[in-house]
Amino acid sequence: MAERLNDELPEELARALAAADQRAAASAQRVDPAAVAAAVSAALRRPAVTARPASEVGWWLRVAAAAALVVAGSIAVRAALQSGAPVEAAAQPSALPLHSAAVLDSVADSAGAWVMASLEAVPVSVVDSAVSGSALLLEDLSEVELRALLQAMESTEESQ
Amino acid sequence: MAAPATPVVTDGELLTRYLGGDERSAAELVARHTVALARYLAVQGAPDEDLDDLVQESFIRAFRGAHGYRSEASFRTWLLTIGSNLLKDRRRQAARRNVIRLVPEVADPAVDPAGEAEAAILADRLQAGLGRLAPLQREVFLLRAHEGAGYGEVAAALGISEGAARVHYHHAVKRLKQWLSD
Repeated sequence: MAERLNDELPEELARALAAADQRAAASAQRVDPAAVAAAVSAALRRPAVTARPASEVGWWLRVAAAAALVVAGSIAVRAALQSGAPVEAAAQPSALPLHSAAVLDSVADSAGAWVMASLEAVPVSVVDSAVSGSALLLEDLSEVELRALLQAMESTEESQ
Repeated sequence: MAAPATPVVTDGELLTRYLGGDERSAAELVARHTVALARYLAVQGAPDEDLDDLVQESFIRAFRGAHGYRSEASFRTWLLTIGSNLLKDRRRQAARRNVIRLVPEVADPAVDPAGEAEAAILADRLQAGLGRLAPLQREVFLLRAHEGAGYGEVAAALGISEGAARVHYHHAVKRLKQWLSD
């Protein structure tokens, strides 16, 4: 029988989350919904401020980062093919039996999770400030962050 | 004979009414979700002094971007991701100015002999761990573990597949567990 992923949190993590939530609840109580509603209504009546122009990061750096992503992804797929791994399944987490913790662990080695692993190799302070919650937006990265990302990709590429 | 129950207007309907020009619907949505949004931002370490502004700006962004709302995720979940992204933006801006620390200080047990220090230490360590997660992992973990959202809803809110949401959650739990036990 396949190992089932235990969706419940480990005890210590559950206690930590409960403690953090208790503290957060106390903080949240100090926020006045009526005051927020008034401020939001007033702001919405004003015309929206035009989005600030794109960062000063050179266009060439974005192109290079995008190209590096494509190349590195291809290298990862080729490496998986050479190792005999089921690349298609490995690159599509949704096609795997994701109730199995062992499978979820192995996805970290797949091409589909390569970008995530590369990002996690970059110092968290850089990633945290750079990556949006829903997509990797190169336009949001500063020059320093893009260089760090490229360096992380290059070091992974050399290890292939 | 009992009076008929007043039908509850859904968040989606309120948003639609707002888009049609009904400002009161926006105010109702704010009333419904302000505390939850503030709590969600605070659990990620947003400073108390910034909460009002973060909550207000999150709602403003939500209403101005209301045409982009997809009903596959609940309005609250969608709002919470907007808030998280805003918090991330603010931290990035502050980091560039070398102003705000991204990791909270850990409470000193010697300062609080009453024993409540243990909870504070755990909370601090969790927030430090959350700060070390990749942003998407952190978002998936919080929406699932803190808000109780299903994988489908998490995926819809973040624009990822359900499978990817499961992967991110699994790795987030694994890493947080490891960091807490270190």
